[in-house]
Amino acid sequence: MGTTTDPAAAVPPRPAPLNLTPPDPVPHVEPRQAVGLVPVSSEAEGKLQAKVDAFVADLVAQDVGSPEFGKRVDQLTAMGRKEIAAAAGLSNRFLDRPVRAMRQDEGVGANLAALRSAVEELDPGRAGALAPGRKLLGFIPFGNHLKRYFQSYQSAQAHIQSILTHLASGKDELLLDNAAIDVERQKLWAAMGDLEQMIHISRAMDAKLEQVAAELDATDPAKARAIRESALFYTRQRTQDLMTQMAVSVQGYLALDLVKKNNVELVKGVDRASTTTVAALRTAVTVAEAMTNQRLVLEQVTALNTTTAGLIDSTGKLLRSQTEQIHADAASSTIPMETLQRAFQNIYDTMDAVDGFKLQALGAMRQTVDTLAAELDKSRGYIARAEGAEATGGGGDAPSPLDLR
Amino acid sequence: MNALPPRGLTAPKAGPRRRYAGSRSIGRRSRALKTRHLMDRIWRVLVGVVGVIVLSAAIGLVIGGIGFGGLFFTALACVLIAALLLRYPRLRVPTREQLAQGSIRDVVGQTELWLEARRTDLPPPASRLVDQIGIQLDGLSLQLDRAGDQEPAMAEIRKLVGEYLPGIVSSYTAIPAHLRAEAAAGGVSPDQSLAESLERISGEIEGVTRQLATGSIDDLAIKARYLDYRYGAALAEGDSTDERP
Repeated sequence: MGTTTDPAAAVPPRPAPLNLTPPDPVPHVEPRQAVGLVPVSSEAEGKLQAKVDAFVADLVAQDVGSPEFGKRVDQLTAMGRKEIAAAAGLSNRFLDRPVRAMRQDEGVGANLAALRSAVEELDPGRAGALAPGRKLLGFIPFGNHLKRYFQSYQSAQAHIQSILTHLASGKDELLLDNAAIDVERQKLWAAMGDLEQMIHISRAMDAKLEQVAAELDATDPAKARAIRESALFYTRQRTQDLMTQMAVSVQGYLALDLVKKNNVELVKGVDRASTTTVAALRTAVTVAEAMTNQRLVLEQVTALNTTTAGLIDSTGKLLRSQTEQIHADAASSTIPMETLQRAFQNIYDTMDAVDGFKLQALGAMRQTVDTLAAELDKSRGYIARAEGAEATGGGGDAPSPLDLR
Repeated sequence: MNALPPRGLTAPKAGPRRRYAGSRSIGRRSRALKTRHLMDRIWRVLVGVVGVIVLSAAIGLVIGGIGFGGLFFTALACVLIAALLLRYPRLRVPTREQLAQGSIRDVVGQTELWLEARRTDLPPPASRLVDQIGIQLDGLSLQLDRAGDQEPAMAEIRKLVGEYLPGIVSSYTAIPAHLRAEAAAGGVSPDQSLAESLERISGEIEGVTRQLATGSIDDLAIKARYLDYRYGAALAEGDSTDERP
């Protein structure tokens, strides 16, 4: 056993403090703000404008009372129907993920709590390992206190291992959840792009119809009125519907990002909790050897080490360098027990950070779910109206020249 | 009465084909149905021939030899029963009512059979579309095999394939042949209406197939992304998740 005189050198390196930042709740998105978030290329813009011009020219060419005019107006009422339906189909599942994420926290949280209580059992401060050995009748040394303390590790290792395995599979679920969110967001992004184009069309249509009606005022006031009362009216209604759906989609898109970030932080927390626990167990092995001159055999530690280190390379590296340091320190230190206690403190710090994070994240999540639920309700009202108009309007199935594809 | 199609005059010959399936198949499902039917018939022929031989042997045992004449009659009976069982029962084309019933997976094959039987009654553009629909129905049936019965799209598919598609064709064939090319009110002839409707149904089948496939496509994408997270560098990049919008 080496004899280093400087006790400071014996303290194990503290890993960089774990910073888990809870994402901010998703703000309420106004329909006006939502438009323009997904860019429409100028090339596409030109094409859409050409479509609108052709449609309006065709509409103006029809006789106001003819069924053909009515058919064109029907096409206006059905404008963006597919795009809204596609986005709404995605948005119906929006609430699933944040709500599930709130529950999933509990799964990981329960495992972390179990790990904490298992670790507390072994805490050298609490177990009284640092207290002087028991003495029979107050002065005869009786029993090897330290030996018994380190033996408790052997009985606890299977339990700790099973908790860590649960944590690892909980982490896998979080990752799978994030993978699904990524795919969902990609689809949502595409749906939002289509919505944006339809909004572009309906706005261009609005402007064009307005302009044409103004031109017709002098020559054909009846047609100008018909255009204002039917075509323009429905176009504005559709613009509103499209923008409402867009706002909900954007909000859902942001909410999905929130869940994803939340999961990433939680994964970090789980990783750190696992690493610090394994580090503490390894420290215990080294300290036991140094203090009791006996080999504490924790078969599981090696296994734990490989699984945990394999999860994420960076933490694996951290763990490796950390344990090398610990080994050197504990072997040379006069106060190896303090090393062990520091290792336990690392676990507690990690868990406190995760707990604090979860508390804050849960608040943000709740707030997001509330906002999103309110918006979804609103948009459902619009969609119901749009579908009602479709059912009575007929012609909804006619292939419209306004279709994006 | 202009542009009377010459085909219209010969149309009635398609009559008998309406009840029994022909040899030409527009899709794999209907071909499979026919193959199964053929195998059934061959099996029945085998059973029938063996039955005749066993019967003649039994008679020979009872009356002590059937003689050369008996052998001759046995052979004759074998040939007759084989010919009869090979020809009947013929594979019947389902009626429209039958199409509207049955399980959704059967409906696809049955509709193919039904369409094949009507194919010759249709004008060339429509019969080309029917061929195309046959191929699409094959793709759809592959998806249906994997999809659960509770899928919300199921009711829609059964209506589309089992009702609307046969409905549009039989509405067309109900029109006397010489009137089919004539423009009705609105300037659209039944021939054109049929082609347009078949086109739309074809598009819808394609859309439904695509929709059913998105489940599998998404599943694959999610798994790929998960592996990215698990073993790749996606988690590190996840810290700076894209900020759009």
